[in-house]
Amino acid sequence: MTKGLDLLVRRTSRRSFLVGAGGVAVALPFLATLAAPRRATAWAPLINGPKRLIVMYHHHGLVMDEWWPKADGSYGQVLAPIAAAGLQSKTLVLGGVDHKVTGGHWGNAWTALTCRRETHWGDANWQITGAGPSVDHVIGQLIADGGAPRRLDLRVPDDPGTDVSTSQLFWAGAGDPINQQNRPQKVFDALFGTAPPPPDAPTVDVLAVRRKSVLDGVLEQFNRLRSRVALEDRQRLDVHADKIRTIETTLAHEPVDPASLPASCGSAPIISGVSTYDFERYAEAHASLLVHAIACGQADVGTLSFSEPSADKLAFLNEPTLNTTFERGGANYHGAWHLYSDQGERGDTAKTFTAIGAWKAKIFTRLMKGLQDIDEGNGRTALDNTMLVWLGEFGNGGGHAAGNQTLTIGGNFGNVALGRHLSLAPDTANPTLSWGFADRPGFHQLAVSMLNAFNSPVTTFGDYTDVDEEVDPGPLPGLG
Amino acid sequence: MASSRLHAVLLLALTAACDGGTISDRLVDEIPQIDACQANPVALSDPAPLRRLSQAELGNSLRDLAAQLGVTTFDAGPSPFPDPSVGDYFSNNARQNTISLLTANQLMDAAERASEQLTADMVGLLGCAAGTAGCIEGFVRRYAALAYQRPVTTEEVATFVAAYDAVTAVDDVRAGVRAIIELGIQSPDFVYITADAVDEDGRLRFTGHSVARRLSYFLWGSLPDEQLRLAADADALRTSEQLRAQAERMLQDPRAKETLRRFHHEWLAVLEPTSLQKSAEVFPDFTTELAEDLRTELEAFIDRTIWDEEGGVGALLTSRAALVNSRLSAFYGVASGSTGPDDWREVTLGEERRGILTRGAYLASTASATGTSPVRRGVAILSKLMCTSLVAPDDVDTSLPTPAPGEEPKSKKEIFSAHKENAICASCHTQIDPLGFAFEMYDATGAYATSYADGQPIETAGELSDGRSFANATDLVDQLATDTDVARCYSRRWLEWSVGRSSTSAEKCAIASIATTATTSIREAIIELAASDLMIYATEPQP
Repeated sequence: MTKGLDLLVRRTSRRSFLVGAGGVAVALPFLATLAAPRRATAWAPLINGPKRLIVMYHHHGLVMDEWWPKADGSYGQVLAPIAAAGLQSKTLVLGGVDHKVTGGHWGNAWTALTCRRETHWGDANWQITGAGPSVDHVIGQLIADGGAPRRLDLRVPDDPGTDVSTSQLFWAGAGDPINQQNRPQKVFDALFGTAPPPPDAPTVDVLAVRRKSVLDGVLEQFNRLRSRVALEDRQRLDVHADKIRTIETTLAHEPVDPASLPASCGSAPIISGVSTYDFERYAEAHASLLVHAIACGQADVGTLSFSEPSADKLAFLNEPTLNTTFERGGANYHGAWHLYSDQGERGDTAKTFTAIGAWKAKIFTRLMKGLQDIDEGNGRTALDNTMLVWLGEFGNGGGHAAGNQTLTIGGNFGNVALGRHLSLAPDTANPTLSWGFADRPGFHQLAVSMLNAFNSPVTTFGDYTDVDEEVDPGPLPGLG
Repeated sequence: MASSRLHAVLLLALTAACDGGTISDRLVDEIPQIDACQANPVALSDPAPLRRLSQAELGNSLRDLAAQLGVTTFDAGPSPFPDPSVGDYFSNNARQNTISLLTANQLMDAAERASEQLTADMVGLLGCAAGTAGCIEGFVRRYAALAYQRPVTTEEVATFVAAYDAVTAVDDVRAGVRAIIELGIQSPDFVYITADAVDEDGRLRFTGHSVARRLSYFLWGSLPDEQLRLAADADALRTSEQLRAQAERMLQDPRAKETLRRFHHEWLAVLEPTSLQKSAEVFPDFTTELAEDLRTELEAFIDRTIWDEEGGVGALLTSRAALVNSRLSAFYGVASGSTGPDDWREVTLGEERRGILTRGAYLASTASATGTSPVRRGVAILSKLMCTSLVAPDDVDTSLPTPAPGEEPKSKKEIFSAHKENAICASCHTQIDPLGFAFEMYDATGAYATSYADGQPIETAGELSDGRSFANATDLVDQLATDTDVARCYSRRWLEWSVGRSSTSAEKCAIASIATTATTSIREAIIELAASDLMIYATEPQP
C-alpha cells in the first residue's frame, strides 16, 4: 500500500532549498541545534568508521522469537522488511544484552543510554530525571569536538498534542532532557523553509547582531540573578544560561554556501498527509526528514522515538487481531502488551505485536534505505557512514523485563562486521527466552562499543556501582 | 497452562504505597487534627524555589506586558514551553519546568514575535522621539520595571542601553527597541518567578515585589497589575490584612476566573476536548462538538459554584446545577428547552448526577476510548480526592484475566475479583476497585447507563476501607463531600498551586486551617491562602 509518501523530488531549484536549509533567518529560530556550525574539529572517525548516529527507540518490546533470526540466518516476520530491502548484509542483530541499571517503566528509559541510576526529585514514580548525558549526546559532542551536538530529535506522538515532547531517553546532562519534535511539518519548515533569499541581502547579518546583543544582555542578567539565589536554583539558572551560550555560538557562523553542501542535498523530501495528525504518516515523514538532515550535513545525531498508540492509530496495519488484542488489554497499548507477558503465548497477541514490530522495522528500513540511496563518494553511501541503533524499552515487552534486550544495528558499527546475528549471552542458548537478568553483557558495554566505533578510546561509560546487576567495563565482548 | 497463569496475573497492582495501613490512617498521619495546630496555624516551611513560568503563565504574562505597555492588539503566538502532561502535577511545578536548548530557542522566537508587534507604533510605545535626549533610557526604565515587576538598577539599565546601541550601530532604531524588548522577555527575571527575601528580625521576609509576583501568579497566572505593583513600591504588601484586601480585589478580575478553571482542569486531569477522543465504533454519538460542550459545561459549573455562589467543597462535589445546550440536554437526559447548540440554559440535573466528579468532561477523561476503567477512576478518587500516593509497581503483569476454554464469561466485577486473590494486589485494589466500580454507572463518555452494552447489570455498591458502605457514585460523592480528609486534600492541592511546588510536612497545619474554610467557601479559602504567611515569609535558602 502506498500513500505517496515516498521521497519525491520537490520541483524547486537546488539553490532555493539550500538557502532555506542553511539560511540563518529561516532555520535558526526554530532549531539552533541544526544550524550550529560544524567546528573545524580535531575528531577523526576511524577509517571507514561511522560519522553520524541515528537511534530509534520504542516503548515496550518486540515479539522476540519473530525478531530473532531463524536457525538458517533468515529473518523472521519482524525484521522481514530489512531483508526484503536487501539490507541484511548491512545489519547486525544482537541478542543477549541486558539493561543493567534498572527495569520497569519508571527508570528504564531514563537510564538506558545514560547508564546511570535515575534521580528521583519527588515521591511519585514519574518524578524522575536522567542523571547524566546519554551516549548519543556524548557521541554528538565528540563529533562536534566538544561543542554543542548538532541533532535532530523526533518523536511519533500518540495524539495530536503538542509540538514538542521532553525525551525520557536522551539527555544532554543530569536533569537536562533533550526535547523531541512531534510535528513533521514544523520540522520541515525549519529545515527547508520557504522564504527565498532576499535579492539585496545585506552584507552584515543584522538579525544575528541583534540576537547576539540581546543574548549578551540576557547573560549579564543571569549573572546578576544567580548571585541572589540558593545553590539548587543557581544550578538551574546555569543550565539555562548554558543553552543561551550555545545559541550564541550558532550566531557566529555565516550562512551556508550552497556549493559547500553535498550534492545529495539537491532536493527536499516531499512530506504529505501530515497537515493533520496521523501516526503512520508522521513516522514515515520523520524518517524522511532524518535521512535528509543527516545527508545534508545538518545533523550529526538523529533520534526517532515511538509513543504508545491506541488501536485506532494503528488501523493502517490492517492486522485482523489488533482490535481484539487491544480490547482485551484494556484498550491501551500498555495493557495489550501485557497479554504477551507469558513468553510462551502464541496466537493473536503475538500476531498483533509482530505486525507492529514489523512496521517499526519498516521505518528502520526506510532510514537505512534512504541513507543507502545517497552516494557520498569513494564508493560509499550515507548508510556506510552512519551508525543506526534500534532498541526498545524491554526485550519481552509484556514482562517489564530489563534483561535480554532487542538490539538491531545498521549501517556502520566501526570495526564490527555486519550481516549476521549474534547472541552475546554465554548461558543463553536462545535469546528469545530467559528474559530476566543473567550473566550477560549490559548497555554500559553497548555504549562503550558505540563510542569506540566513533574512535573514542573510552573503556567505561556511566556508573558501574549503582546497578541492579553487575556489569563489566569495556566494550561488548564477542563481537569479533 | 497459559490460561491459568493469565488468571493469576493482575490488572493493575499498585502496591508500593499501599502497605502502610488504611487510607484514613495515613491521612490522619499526614495531616494532623486542627486542635494540634492552633498554636501555630501556619507552620512555615517554604523553600521558595525559583520557578520558571508555565506555558499558560508565559502566554498570559506576554499578553499583560503588552497591555501594560499600551498595546492591546497582541498575539503571543504559540508558547515556547511544552505543555506538561496535565494530571500528574500542576503545570506550575517548579521542579519540572526546565529549559532545554530547544525551548531556549523558542523563547527567543517568542520574544522576537512580541517585539515585532510591540514596536509597530514606535511613537506610541516610546512616548518620545528616539533621537531625543533620555528617550531610550526613559523607555528602558519603564519597560524593564514592567518586565521584571520591580525597580531596575542603573547597571541593568546600562545592559539594555548597550544592546540598543550595538544594534542601532548596524540597523535602525526600531531594531534597537526590539532588542530592548527581547532582552527583557528572555531575561531570567521575566521567565522565572524569583523569591527575593530579606532578613527581618531573624525571619526571612519576601520583598514586596516578590510578594506581588507570588500573589499575581497564584491568582491570575500572570504579571502583577499596576495596583499591585504600586502597593509593592509603597511596601504595602507586608501584612495579612493588606494581602487579603489585594486578594479580594484580584478575585473580582476575570483572570482569576480563568485560574479557577485551570486549577480544576489540572487537579482532576480533565482532558482538552481535542484529546478527548472516543471510539467512533463504540460511541458513535460522541463527537468533537459534544466534547467541547462538555468542557464548556464544566467551566460554567466551576464559575457558578465557586465564583458566583461562593460555594464550598461540598457544593463543588454535590451541586446538580448545570448549563446545557441541546446536545447536552440529550447527553444528560434533562429537559432544558434548549433549541440548539448555541442556546444554553440553566438546569438542575437528575438525581443520578452530582457535582464535578459526575460531569461528562471529567468522567470521559477517566476512561479509555472504548470503555470504562474502574481502576483509573478509582485511582483518581484516591489520588485527587484523598491525596493518597499510588505507585505502580514494576515487574507486575497488568493484563485482564481471560476465561479459560469452556469457561463461562464472567461479569466485570468477577473478573476484577482476581485482585483479591493476591495479597500484594489486594493491598491496593481492595481500596481502588470499589471506588472505581461506583462510577460504572457512567460509561466511557460519561453518559448515564443502567446496564452494560451486553445487558449485564452494573454493580456499583462497595465499601470504603474504613467500612463505610455506598450504593453507587452519587452516594459515594455525598459522603466524600462531607469528609474532612477530602476537604484537606483539596486544600493541599490549592496550597501546592499557590506556591508552585509540592507541599511539605511542615504545612499540615496550614492545610488543615484552609480546609476548614474551604468547607464553606472555596473563594474564602483562596483568600486565606493568599493572605497567609506562605506569601510573606520564606525560609533560609541553603548556601
